[in-house]
Amino acid sequence: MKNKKLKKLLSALCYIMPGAMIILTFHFIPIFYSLYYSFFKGGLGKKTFVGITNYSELITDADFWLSLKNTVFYVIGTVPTTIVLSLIIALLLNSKIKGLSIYRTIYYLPVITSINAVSLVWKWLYNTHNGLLNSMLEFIGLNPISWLFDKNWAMIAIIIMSIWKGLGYNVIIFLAGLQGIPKQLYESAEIDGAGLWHQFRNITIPMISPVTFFVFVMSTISSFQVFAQVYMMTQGGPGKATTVIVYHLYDKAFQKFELGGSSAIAFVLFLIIFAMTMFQRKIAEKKVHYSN
Amino acid sequence: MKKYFNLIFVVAIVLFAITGCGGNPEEDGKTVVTFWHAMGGQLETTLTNMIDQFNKENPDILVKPQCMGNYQTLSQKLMAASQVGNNPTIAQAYEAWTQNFIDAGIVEPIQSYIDKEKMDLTDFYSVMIDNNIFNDKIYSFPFNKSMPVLYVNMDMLKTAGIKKIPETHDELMKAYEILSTNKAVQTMYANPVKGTAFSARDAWNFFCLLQQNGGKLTNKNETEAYLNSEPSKKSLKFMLDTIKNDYGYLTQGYEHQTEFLAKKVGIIMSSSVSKSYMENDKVTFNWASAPLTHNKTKSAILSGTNVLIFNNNPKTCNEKQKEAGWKFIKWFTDRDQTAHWSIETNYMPVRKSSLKTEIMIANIAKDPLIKAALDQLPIATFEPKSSKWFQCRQVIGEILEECLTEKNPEINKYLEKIDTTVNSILKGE
Repeated sequence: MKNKKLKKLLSALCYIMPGAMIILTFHFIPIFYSLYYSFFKGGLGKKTFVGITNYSELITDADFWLSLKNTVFYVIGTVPTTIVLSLIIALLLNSKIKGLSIYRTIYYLPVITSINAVSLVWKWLYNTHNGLLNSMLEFIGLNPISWLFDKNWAMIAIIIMSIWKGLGYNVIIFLAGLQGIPKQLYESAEIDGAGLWHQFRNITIPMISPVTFFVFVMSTISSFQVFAQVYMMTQGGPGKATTVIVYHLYDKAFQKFELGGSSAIAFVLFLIIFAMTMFQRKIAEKKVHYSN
Repeated sequence: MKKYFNLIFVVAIVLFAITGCGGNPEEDGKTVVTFWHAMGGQLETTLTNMIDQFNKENPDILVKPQCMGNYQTLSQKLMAASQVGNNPTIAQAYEAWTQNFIDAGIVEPIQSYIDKEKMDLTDFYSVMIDNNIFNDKIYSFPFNKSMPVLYVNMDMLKTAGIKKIPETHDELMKAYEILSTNKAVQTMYANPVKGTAFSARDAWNFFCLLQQNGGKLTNKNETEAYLNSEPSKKSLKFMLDTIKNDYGYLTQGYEHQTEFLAKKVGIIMSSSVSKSYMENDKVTFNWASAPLTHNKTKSAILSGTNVLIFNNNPKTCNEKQKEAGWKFIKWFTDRDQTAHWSIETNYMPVRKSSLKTEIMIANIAKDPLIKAALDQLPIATFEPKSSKWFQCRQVIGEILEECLTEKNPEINKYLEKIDTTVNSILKGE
């Protein structure tokens, strides 16, 4: 009897081991190693234990606060817009129109395209002198904007591109949510004389609230970790206008060789995201309606 | 039983994946020198061919090159390897990295080999050797050093009626102005033309201007910077005038080369190595290269990396391996090899005698574009080498970019910001 249980356990271990090994080696060990590192100073070969100095130094590190400010700006610029836009597009795609699968493909295409390739293409679109966006602005009689070389516009340029890139993924999730709403609800609402707006307001919104919550949490988390588009398009510039937390961390570790300080930032970022998610669960999840 | 077999099978696969397959018949009885470098594309082909030749000439040694793709990756790999003592025998490295590795005590000073062999260094350009001296000792050796030059679209200059390639800062600014305003030039191509394009992030442009204006970056010990000076102000003003008058525009990274090739700008300042990259992309107009312009002093700042020998990994850095590594470095920087390397890649030769080799003379005659870079060898300098300076140049790049992208910047405010930030970094800790 006992032998059978053991066998079962062993075979289960067999199946999860390849995956678990990968997660353990490439996720968990580095995470704890970086936590360990954040208490040390000095990078190569020798390092000295400094306690929480790396953390306390962050409080006076103006660059860190600036990068935090930039990241929050990015999150506020990206998350709500993404949710609203992807819900609207999902609603449109949920209706019976011709060529539905073509539209879905078009919206999903940016998601599966490599962020590096997409960034390069957008860099061309944003080009001050020959970019498509500025040509369009000039065509309708507006002044060209030096998108990536103006500290007031650079972050907005990155936000626009990121929204475009992430839209398709959220559209698909919303679409799944919309299709899960039972048709009878709309039918009976119609019989009761509810118009489209009331149906949307009182049936659609509450019924997809779990999906909205999911999208909200996930896009907040990923927005706090934004890096690739900044690295590819502006390198944190002009000046430090688009230096977000992860770029600042990368810069500290791999340009300035301050591994300890950079690990401390990574851990603080983890705490911020963790706190944000907890906050969202405590506050926002109260408004979520779970039907079963 | 079958399930245990599964388990063993999985374990075997995982172990195999982790350890890879060991043992290589090629290495039998030879001293293996691992060499991490960042030379990609055509450069890698040239380097590999040269290494093959060295391996053939030295049957007891096997130099194994490993391309890391680019400097960024190389730096990260070296740093990670240094943490766990997994370094290669030799590697390319920028001065600031070398300084870090020396501080960590993991570099074998090349000085000890030079002293042992009483090697004569007079044939080397002194700037090439000085660039590798840390704490009064030669730690590393020049490997791939490039020289900045002007690249000029001669068709544009001709159309604009500019008779000669600019030699001074004033002439250069004038040329930028004519190129961006001259009607004939503006109607020459489908797109509007500007004088130049450059990266503000890359402080290299600024440093060259500053030295040409008669300024100095730091004192000899690299403890004090002179960046709020008259030459510094002139240099920033030059860059600012170019942008504000719309004689040129900012780009990122190496994009100025693409703009030049696309006939959107007439003159760019770029490295001697850019020549091969641009030729790869096809140059569709008559072009020329020229020494950088000057104001008070002629000056050009070398860039590129050196090569160093590690001493901390018992598997790759035993006495025999280190010695074999040095033998390779010495061979690589010898007259004929450095000439060959320079001809193939447009990096600078490190020995004076290499200029007198037949292949070099033939190459200059065949390809006059390389001459401008070689002509600047006697006036070449290098940037401060400390890892602190590495931080400084990044900060300077950021502040320059901030200044050049602002609408009406106050030059003095920015110079002061650069100077105080840099000096606090240099004095810090």
